[in-house]
Amino acid sequence: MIAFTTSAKTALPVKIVFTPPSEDAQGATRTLVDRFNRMQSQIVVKLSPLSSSTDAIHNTYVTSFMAKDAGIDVIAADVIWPPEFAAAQWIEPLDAYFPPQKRTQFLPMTIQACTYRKHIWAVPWFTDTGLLYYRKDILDCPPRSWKDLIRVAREKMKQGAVSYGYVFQGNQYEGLVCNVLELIWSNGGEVMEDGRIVIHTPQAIAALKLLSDIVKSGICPPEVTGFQEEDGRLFFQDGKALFLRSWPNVWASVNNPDSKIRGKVGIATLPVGPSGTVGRGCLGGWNLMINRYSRNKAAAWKFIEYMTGAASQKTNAIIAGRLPTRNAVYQDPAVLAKNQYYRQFLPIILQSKPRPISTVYPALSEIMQHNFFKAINGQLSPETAIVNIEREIEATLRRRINKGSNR
Amino acid sequence: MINLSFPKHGPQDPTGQDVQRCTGLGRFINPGKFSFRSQLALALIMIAVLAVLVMSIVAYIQAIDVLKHNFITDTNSILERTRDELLTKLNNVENTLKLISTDQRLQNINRPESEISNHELTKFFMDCINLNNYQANYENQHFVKNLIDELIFLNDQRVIISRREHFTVYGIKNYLPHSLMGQAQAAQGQAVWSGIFFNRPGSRLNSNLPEATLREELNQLALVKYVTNEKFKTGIGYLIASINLARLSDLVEGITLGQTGRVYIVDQEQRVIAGRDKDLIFKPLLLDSASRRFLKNPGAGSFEGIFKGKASFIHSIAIGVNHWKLVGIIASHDFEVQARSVRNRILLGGLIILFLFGFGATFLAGRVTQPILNICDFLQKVETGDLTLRTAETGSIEIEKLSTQLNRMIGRIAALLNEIYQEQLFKRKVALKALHAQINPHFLYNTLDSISWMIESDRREVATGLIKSLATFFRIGLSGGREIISIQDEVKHAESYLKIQKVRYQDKLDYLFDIDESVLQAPIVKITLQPLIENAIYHGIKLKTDGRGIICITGAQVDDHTVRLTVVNNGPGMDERKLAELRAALQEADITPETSGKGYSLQNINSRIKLYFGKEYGLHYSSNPKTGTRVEILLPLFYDEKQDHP
Repeated sequence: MIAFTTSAKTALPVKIVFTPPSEDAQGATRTLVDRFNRMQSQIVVKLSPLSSSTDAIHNTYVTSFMAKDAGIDVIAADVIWPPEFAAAQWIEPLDAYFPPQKRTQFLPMTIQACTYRKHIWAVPWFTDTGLLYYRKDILDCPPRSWKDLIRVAREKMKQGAVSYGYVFQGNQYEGLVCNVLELIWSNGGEVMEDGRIVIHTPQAIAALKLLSDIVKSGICPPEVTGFQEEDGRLFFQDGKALFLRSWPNVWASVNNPDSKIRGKVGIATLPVGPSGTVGRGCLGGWNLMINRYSRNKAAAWKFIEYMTGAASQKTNAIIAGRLPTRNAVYQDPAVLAKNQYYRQFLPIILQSKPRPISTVYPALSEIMQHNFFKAINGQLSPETAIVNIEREIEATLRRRINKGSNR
Repeated sequence: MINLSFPKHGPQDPTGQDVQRCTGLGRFINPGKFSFRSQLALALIMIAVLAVLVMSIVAYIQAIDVLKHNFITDTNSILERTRDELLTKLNNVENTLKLISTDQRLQNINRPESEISNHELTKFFMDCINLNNYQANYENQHFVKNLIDELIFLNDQRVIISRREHFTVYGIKNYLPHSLMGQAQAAQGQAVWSGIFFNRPGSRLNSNLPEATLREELNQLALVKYVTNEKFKTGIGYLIASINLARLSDLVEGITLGQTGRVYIVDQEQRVIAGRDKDLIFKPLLLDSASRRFLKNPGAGSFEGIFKGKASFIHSIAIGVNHWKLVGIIASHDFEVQARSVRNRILLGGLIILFLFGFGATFLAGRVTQPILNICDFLQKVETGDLTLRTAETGSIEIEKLSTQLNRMIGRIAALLNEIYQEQLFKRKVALKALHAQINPHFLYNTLDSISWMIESDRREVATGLIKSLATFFRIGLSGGREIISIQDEVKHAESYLKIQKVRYQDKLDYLFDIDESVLQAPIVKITLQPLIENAIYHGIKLKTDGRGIICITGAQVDDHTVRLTVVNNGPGMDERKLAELRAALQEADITPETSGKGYSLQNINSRIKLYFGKEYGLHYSSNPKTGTRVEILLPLFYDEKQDHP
């Protein structure tokens, strides 16, 4: 028999699709989604992880948006994408759902990264910043400068304490841009200011040369130029390296029972370059957005509200070590018990620097990736690489302006 | 107009009980009996119930058969389609490796002048993966899926991994079994499929995921191709397409057979390698031993067995790769639920039809029986005596015929009743007339005068005789009101009359009776002979001038049915004209009691005889002026008195 009803009580649950990056190693995302599906019956969230490669995820989204695909409802997006997606009108503005008074509960730079042309387009899910992990069982204190890092690494390698000194994200992808930008910033350099390209400075060239030297110095494994986050994490977790530049989520993994260096890891701010004054991490993190073509926007918002709520951020921090985007979660005793360094590094996290904010950021990133990678592989001199970047970015920005697109 | 009333009580059946007539209310309130309309409606409904019942049973059996047949056909079709899809997709994976391996970027990757970056190849690999994208829809969602989990290129100098979801550059060389690498190299450019193996390095990336998810994501199947430079025939590296069981499951997890039936891919050890039930992945398909044996048979087949402890229908087909099979399983209960649902729908449909039919049948029965009820009511009115009523019921040819016949019958009854009435009236009147004739005042006066004179002349015996004769004459003339008496009594009556007349006419009159005994009990309308004798005296004997007048009365049987009485006198007789007039008068058809004149008494007698006994009986005159007059009276030998209405 066919029954017709419009009653909300008997209506079928709304099904929405959420596409995070690949499953996090700790399964925090799945835990949160499962909990959401259990705690209410109106919405069923289908988890559809995409990839651990940020570029691959970006490609997937762009393909999907171009096709006006409604298959994805809630989009997990890298912190660098909101301006691009908003300008293309691929995502739903969230001003009605996410009023300014609610935004004050979040870290300011994370909200800034979700804002484009005075509208809010995303809700900060978790934030990231570049950190230096080191073996505290081998070193008493972390190096303050990159020079120290190289020296200590060589020393400990020579002593046979570790196989390699330093691992980072050396593959040609967004992670490499973060690594190099951090070096440029820590050496007093900049990439863009007020929409202009300002990368061509001695500080930037020196910073790139420094990384190129590190790779050449032998303190990195030869395959480091193919490494992304998980390669470096596993390499470090296997006790093969003294230092690892990565994101906060590594903390939970390296302290897991199956980790060979459990309890032997310390965290430090990134070292300072020869011309710099402070080591600054690159602002990373992921935001949640609603696909403009979604047919279930209200349900999508409910899920975003849940995922970015204090309770979920607390779970995310405890299980996966992901940095909360809400101020309050940093004061939570349970969170602090699991992540003791939160209290110590909150000011540093707040000082982390965003990458250039631009609607054509992926193109800028592509230019930087290409040239940075060639430089650290010795295929280009650091100076040439920086000059190339300056020229190509200027050309790209000009093209955008000529097309009438604003940054 | 005739207005006759029938008895108030109804007609009686042979047992004497009142027969129920179709009166207005009675037909409904009489318990145990139903109106014709109800009976007709009931009969129609019962036929419909029977039809619906038979139809439901047949439809249910048919539905079960069709469902079973459909299940096998549909499942087979679904499984074949899925197999084709799987084979196409596996083929596409092979083609993808072929495409990549012949691409100049990869062909030249080891050349010193090559500027191809890993990044560029990664993008190329991603594009190649995306070429294998397909859309899948289930539960009102559509998903982009892909059989390829990862594309990897591997040689001593480079590692290119496209998606990096289950692989890292670090540790990649521990991923594939060495034997497989050897096989691929030996295959001289042909791609080699691996068996299912566990991606141990990958497990470090997802260690915290649920066990079932890990089992599905990390049990892998790889297509490995050793790429060589087509120009220089030098080795370039290994190109690997990795497919995990989750990707295989994507192909079948959206398929639902019936309500809850599932499709699984099983390997030759009957382990589930793909399906929606993640708990079963890489575990034996939970079948009973008989089903397991059946499943070992090559090719396609359907059977009923036990899956997860529940009776189920199972259908399987071979995929043609690695001895895998596609198995569709639907719980018998699920199947029965469908069958029940079909049955219930059929029954519901049947009930609705029945309900509508009930209405229709009652309505139709009403339509069909209404004219009959109207005729019943009409007859009831006719029964009260109004025979002028006519019915004009139509509705069917039969009803019209019935109406016409009834009208005709009522008309006929009215006519007959009128006829009977007139006849009875006539009989009464002629009888009365006869009686009047008998009590002729002249005759009575003359007789009484004779008696008086006899007494005065002291001839008392004669007077006594006269009185006795007169008494007999009147007694028989009255006969207790009966019209038909025996010839014996009639003769006595006539004899009394003659005795009285004999006193008056003395020697002028003689008479003779010669009645055969066999006719003495035969019937005769009373006062038949006396008027004839009176005629004989007054028109015969009295007018005779020579000799004595003799009246001779005889009676004898003519045949077995007829009696003839004769009254003969030897008076002057009639001439032919007179005789002809008399005979004509006797033959006049319409004799009424009002008829008077000379021939009346003769006509009266003749009419009464014919009225009571039939036209073949009556008077017949013959006469001769020389010999006298003879009257023949023809009468029946037997007569049923019941015919004579008092």
